[in-house]
Amino acid sequence: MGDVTSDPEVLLLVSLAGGPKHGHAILLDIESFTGRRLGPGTLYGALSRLDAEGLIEPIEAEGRRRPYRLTASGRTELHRRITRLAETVRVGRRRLAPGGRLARG
Amino acid sequence: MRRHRGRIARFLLLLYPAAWRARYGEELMTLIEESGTRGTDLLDVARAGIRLRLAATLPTDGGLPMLLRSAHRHPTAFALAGLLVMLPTLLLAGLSLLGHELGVGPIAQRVDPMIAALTESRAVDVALVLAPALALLVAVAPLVRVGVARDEGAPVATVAVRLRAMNVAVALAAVAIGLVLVWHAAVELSGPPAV
Repeated sequence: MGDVTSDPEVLLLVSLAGGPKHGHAILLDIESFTGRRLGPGTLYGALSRLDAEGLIEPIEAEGRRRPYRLTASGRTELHRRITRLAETVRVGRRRLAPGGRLARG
Repeated sequence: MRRHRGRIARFLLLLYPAAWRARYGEELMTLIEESGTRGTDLLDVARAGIRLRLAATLPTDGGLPMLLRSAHRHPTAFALAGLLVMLPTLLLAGLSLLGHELGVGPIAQRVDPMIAALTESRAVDVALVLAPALALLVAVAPLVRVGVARDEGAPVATVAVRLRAMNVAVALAAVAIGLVLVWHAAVELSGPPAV
């Protein structure tokens, strides 16, 4: 079962929020903050969807590597998604607190 | 081994839609080379390719999207693949018919031990029997277009059929071999004639 941060698109947006990166750097970055390694196909599938939606964009190539960066709409979208995620976490924590579910309905 | 995996990964890129490959193919290959290909990576590359291929064929803004786009683009390749799949069964059944039904004795003497040796393995036996059915599906795939169109917003399944001589010929050959196998099984099940 995946956890709440298993959405590769969110992970990729979070990674690029820290600055432009190429594929391998994104892979290593995500591994460093989730402890999980995304497959290259999963990563590039998510990357191409975000690129098509205008949430990220390629910048000048470094040899065979193509770095990407977050666009303004990508930043807005990431904010929207993590706000929703934070709300889910907040509700979950409240309900897990002793007597929380019964006390607050 | 690693070089082989790189080659396999490049081959798996064929699963991706052509436009996607043209835009991201080399970048994905660079990532695979830099990150060190693992066995699970190959599965991941294949799975992502199939997902993207399916996503590219699903309906977007109406029209008649094709679920069998590859087959439609390469009907001759599919016909040849069907022929290749059933070739061993076709050869064995053909030689057996020549030997036993048309009475060409020398052929029967040679083909019978060959068939007995091959069908000793249950897996080979089953594969030889199922091959015509698989060949039929592969040959017919380019002839049928199944899709989903939008009718006032509601999805509607659509089916269209076209004819291509080569695919039809391979499909008919597959059906013919299938009938021969069924007939042969029926003769065997009915047992030897009473004396």
